Amino acid sequence: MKEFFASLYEWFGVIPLYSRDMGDQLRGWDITCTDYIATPWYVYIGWIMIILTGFIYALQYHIIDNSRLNKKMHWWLFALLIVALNFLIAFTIPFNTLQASDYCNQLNLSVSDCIGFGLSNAVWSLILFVIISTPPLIRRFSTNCRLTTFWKP
Amino acid sequence: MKKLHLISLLSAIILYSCKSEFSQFNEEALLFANDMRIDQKEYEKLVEHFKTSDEKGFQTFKTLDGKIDNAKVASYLLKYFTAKKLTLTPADIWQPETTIARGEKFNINVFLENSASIDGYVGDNSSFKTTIFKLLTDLKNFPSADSLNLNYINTKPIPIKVSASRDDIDDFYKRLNPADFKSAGGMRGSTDIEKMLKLLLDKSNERNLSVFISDCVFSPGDKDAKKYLDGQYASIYNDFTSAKNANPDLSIIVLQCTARFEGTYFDYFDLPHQNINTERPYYIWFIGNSIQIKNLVDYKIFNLIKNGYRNKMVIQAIRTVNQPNFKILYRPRIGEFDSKSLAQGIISGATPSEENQTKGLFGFNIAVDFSQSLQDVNYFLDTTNYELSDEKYSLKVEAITDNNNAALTGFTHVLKLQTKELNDETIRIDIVGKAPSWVYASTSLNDTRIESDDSEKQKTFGFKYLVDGVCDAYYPKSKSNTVTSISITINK
Repeated sequence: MKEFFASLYEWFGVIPLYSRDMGDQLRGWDITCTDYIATPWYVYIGWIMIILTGFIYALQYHIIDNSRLNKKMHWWLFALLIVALNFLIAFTIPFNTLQASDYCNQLNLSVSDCIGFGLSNAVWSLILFVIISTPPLIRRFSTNCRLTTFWKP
Repeated sequence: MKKLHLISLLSAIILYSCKSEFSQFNEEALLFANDMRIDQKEYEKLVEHFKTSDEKGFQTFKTLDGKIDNAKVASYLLKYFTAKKLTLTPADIWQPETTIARGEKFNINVFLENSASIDGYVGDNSSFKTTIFKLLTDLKNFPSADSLNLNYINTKPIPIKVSASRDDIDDFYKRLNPADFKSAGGMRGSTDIEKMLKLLLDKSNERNLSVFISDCVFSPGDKDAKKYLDGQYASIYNDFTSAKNANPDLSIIVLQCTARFEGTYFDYFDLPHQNINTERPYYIWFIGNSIQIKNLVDYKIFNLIKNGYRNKMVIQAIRTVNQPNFKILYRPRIGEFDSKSLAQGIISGATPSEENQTKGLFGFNIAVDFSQSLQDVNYFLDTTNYELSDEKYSLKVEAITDNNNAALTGFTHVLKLQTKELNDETIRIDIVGKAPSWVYASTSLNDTRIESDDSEKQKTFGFKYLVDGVCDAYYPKSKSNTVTSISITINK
């Protein structure tokens, strides 16, 4: 699971938005610089992203499910909320670690790495939101938003 | 609305629980260490985590049969506390009692050379006497010591005190002077080191440890010096080979100490050089089995020596090749590599450097813990004592002096490896048993100009012949003599 999320967030090594050191920190490289035995943030943040995105999707389509919130503009507003929250989570966790120097001192981490990871998480959450809200399979259970996607109505 | 609350609550629980059990273990350890110690109750509570979790972090502290390795736990905690800027020492972390085979008590037989060449060390201003006095007191207090027997030695041992008491040690100290050396008798005119060592070897066994204190200066007299030294080398080699065959567990530690020498120095022609007043080396040999020697090391008897020692040499039969605790450091590195299997000693995805200054080079560092070795730490700094399975790699060794670096806590040396030809391979770094380089630097082959040549004053005539005789018996040149080995797998 760790390597699955690592591959996603590192964009399969093609366009990593942050350093290799940040990747190792998120894999769980421990503070004594010995092994990947610390918190595997990739897994946790990956799951948080999935759950949060799923929750906000459910909020719009099934919990609020309001006829006044079923336009594509509203989809984009909820998407903005998802992206912002996921960016914030993925930025804040490594940023706090960085500020507290709570990581292996041989890793070269910077704020731009935190921003890069935040962006990566934000983009994946947007992709996920698109994926779950585009096919009619799930949204057909919604009363007022079953036709809402990012391009219509 | 109810649905919303339920989902919010679930999300909050999930977010809150985003902390690995290993992180919780770390936090708890940190909390316990607030009072700068981990007591028994706290340690046992921490260890409870190991029983309930199968996270990888905990697995690294278990032995192959799944038991908790308390030494590894304590070592990790120390590193973790260092990273968290808490200065705890190993003594601050409670550890379960371990049963270590200490062996039975044994006699300690001290042999102090009383040849005329020693007279210069026992002057009024010499630290030699106080060092010996302190050493004897420490040996008397040594828990494994059964009885402490004091002897002079030249051509034969001269017993002075059997089962010496504290008063006897005091008396022995007071008698450390040329007049008493003379009255003790024996052939004081020349020094036959080979004969003395043979006597000591005969007296060293599982019940007796020998301590030999001597300047170790050979006295060829009017004989051809080269032939004499070669003969001594051969005899010493023969003596130690026989002793090692009879007692494969026989181990030797030699300390080189220095003290003020005031008096007459006899050169290799036995010609006297009057009024020599300088710091001169002398040697303390400990000859016994490995348990006796290990007990001495554990008691830190060598650290207790007054005025310290300049060099140390350990000679032990090689029974198994040791594999010290080591880790490949994340940084510094030349080129790039994947860190996924570093903890298993595997470097994967290795690529040479693309940077201008180091273009084409590949390099990495290994932190190694040599503290469990009896050998002197300086021995591991000398790259001539290392053999690499791939000669295309160059090696540099540094001692770790930064005690506050969590990445290096628990390690003593950093090995820096570098190559211009990167290949898929398993590189073996062997530390071989041999005479340390200080032996050769301390050897004189002509001591006739001791008054005018300052470097000669710091040397011992023929010393390398003596050490080579011992080392060649233990580390024959026909064998690889690997004492310690580290293997690193490198994949491109």
